[in-house]
Amino acid sequence: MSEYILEMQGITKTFPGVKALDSVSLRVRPGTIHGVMGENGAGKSTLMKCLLGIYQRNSGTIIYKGREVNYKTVREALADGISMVHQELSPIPERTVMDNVWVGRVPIKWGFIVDRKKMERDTQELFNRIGIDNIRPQDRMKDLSVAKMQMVEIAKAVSWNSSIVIMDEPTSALTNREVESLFKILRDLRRQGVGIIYISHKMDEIFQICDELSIYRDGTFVKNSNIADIDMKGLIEAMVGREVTAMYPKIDCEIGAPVLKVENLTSGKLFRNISFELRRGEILGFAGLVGAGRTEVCETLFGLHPITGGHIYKNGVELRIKSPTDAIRNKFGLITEDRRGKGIFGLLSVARNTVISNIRIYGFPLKHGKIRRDSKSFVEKLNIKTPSLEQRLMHLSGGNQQKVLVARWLLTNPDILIVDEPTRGIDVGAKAEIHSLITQLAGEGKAIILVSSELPEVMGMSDRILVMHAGDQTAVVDRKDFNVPGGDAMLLAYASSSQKQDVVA
Amino acid sequence: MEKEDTSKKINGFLIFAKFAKDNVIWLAFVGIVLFVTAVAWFIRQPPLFFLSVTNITILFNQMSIVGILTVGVMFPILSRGIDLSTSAVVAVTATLSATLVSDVKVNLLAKLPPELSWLGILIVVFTCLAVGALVGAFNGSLVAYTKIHPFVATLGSTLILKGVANLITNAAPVGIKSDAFKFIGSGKIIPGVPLTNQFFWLVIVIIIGGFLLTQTRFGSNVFAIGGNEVAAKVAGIRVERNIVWVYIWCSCCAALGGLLYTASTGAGTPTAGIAGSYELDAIAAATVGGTSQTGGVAKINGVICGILILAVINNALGFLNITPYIQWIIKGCIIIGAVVFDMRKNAKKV
Repeated sequence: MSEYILEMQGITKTFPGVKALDSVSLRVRPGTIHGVMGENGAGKSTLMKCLLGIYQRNSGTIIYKGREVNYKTVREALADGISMVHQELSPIPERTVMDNVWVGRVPIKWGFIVDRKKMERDTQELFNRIGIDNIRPQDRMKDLSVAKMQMVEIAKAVSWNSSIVIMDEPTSALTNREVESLFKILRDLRRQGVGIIYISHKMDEIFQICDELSIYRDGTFVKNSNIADIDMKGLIEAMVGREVTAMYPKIDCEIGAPVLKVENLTSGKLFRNISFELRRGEILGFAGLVGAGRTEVCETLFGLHPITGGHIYKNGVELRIKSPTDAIRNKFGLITEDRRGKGIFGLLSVARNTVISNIRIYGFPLKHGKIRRDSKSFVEKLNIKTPSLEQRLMHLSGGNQQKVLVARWLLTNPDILIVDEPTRGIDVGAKAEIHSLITQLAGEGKAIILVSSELPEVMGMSDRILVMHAGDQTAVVDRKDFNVPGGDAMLLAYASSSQKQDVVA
Repeated sequence: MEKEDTSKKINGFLIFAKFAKDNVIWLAFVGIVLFVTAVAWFIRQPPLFFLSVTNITILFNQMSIVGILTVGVMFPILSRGIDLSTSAVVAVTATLSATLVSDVKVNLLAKLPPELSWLGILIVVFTCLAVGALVGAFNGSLVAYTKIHPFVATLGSTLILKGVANLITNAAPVGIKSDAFKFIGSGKIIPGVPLTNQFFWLVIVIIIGGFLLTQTRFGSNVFAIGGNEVAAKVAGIRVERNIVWVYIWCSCCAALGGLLYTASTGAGTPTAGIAGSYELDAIAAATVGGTSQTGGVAKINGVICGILILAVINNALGFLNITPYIQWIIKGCIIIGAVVFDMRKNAKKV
């Protein structure tokens, strides 16, 4: 038997008109965590789908545990010990944790009766084995946090006695502390000889957890490297194929008069007493752990949650915002965190998605020519990669979908633009473009609220940062105070305790 | 150079493939017509009766009311809802208009001087459309504000309306004599053309429906709501208000259908539309015409074709002397086939 548990060689996969993978390889050793890196569209997920039998490859060989395999269905791959934790979780919310783990293969006694006792026992054993101690098998799935759901999902993957576990962006919805406990589980699995394929966009995580890397670009294999032999700059260059300079192109721009003043804003149990001021040309960052209520504050400003207390003033006039329509009328824009759920219309064209929030300026009957012209100018301005304006948005990559949403809000010409997790699930190149776009907008005198779970992103982009913890505002920190060594630790301290800090104004 | 040639060839093929894919519903329609013609030619004299002017006229007149209901119901379906109450609205407005016009009941027309009978007819028409709008507002509000599933909401209102229709006429059919009123449905407005006015109403409704769909803010909003309701809200669309209008449009179309029912048959019965399951035929025609039950996809020319396909099937199976039971089986298969096809085409990744 060779030193590899999995060897994929010369994998080629074509779709009508596109060569998604061109003679790509991947070799994983048992007991290692193997990072799979590449921009969106590099072919990472296609490669995984070829392995799992979701796609049938056109050519190439897959050798697993010393013999050639050729799965036709995911079930075959699972039974053979290859499982995957997908980026988008698919829990059955109304059922218990153990039902979710054993769905489709519940243990049975007397031929047909579900053996719930055994199910519970097995689940507990499984949790003990991989070190999950804060979830009970009887918990309802819908009562768990996203992080815990993810743990359950991992347990489910391991429960197939997997020798290979594939993880696709497992930390995109997790806080730093949750990431730590995820990593602990992954290290335990590694010790038990499992080969883990780890797909992620987050560089620091890759360097923290992976032993080896395979890097892909545009459907081709670029290189394979030990983690010790590569640095972040080299990795980014290999992924992008060019040098990426500043990740956070923060330009100090002139900060003007206050536009927005929020006083003691409260929405039921979501968050309490949020107060801040926002000026023209300023970027105000919202930092905090997942569940701190940052997104909820943004959505409340935008009329998606009821305001149960406090006041919002714009240019000194108090606003009553009861719906997004009110917010838009007052020149707010919201680029939502939940791109698929609350942002895009996948079935509608790129053009229609661009103009939908501003459709009233296109008159009656609709001026289709103007719609096309306006969306075309944004496609060019924001460098949106699409075959045509009529393309359904669902066929575009995440980064390009995000740019269409940016275009949608730019078209409404807002005074206050709220951007919530603008770069989640987006590849490095597009990230940099979105960042410089945000900075540029601030330079044009727009007031911007930026929410991000990636601390370097908030710190790199913001003039001031408002920190939240469990629905409370714990601090507001100026750039000069956080842009120092140890600044990140300070913000993290504010984010992880409900102790109110002195507001640094 | 050679490479360019092949790519051109491939391009040509792709364009044809795209044309075929976009218009597959019309190809299916042509196929069905050819098939029926072949069968008719095979078993029946005179040959080609199916394609004769007489038969096509019958077919066009027959499909009018269901066609109008189809253009109505495509909007709720597009918004990811459904409206089951269209045939019950037909029953209510058919009986209502008959009662208003009939000699033995209200006899509205006789109470006006003859030169003002057009005014009487206008009153009847607007009363019926207002009733339709009211029903639509009721359905739409239930769906939009109470979040009751549209299937349940419109099922409930169907029962209510059935009761109302029977109350209006005491469960009996009401005949009308007014030729002026009958003219709305069975008159022939273009001399020498055998098509009755109900067909022209269908044409008007299709034009308005298509216009709403592609040329107005409203249509654009309905596409968005059907595609992703939450995103529509975030994009600033007043989702609830638009949904109410969707159901108002649908019920107004149905109300027009009820008027035409009375005007073209000369009687309003409380089973008008209901007995023939018009609501199901309309949903079927919209679905066959590519209106996606999962919302967000609809095309007016697809719906026109759906109306035609259903009409051809009804007509052909009738004159080929196939029993209604077999007709139902065939219709059922076609609808299921269309939906399966539709799902494959619009498989959502969103």
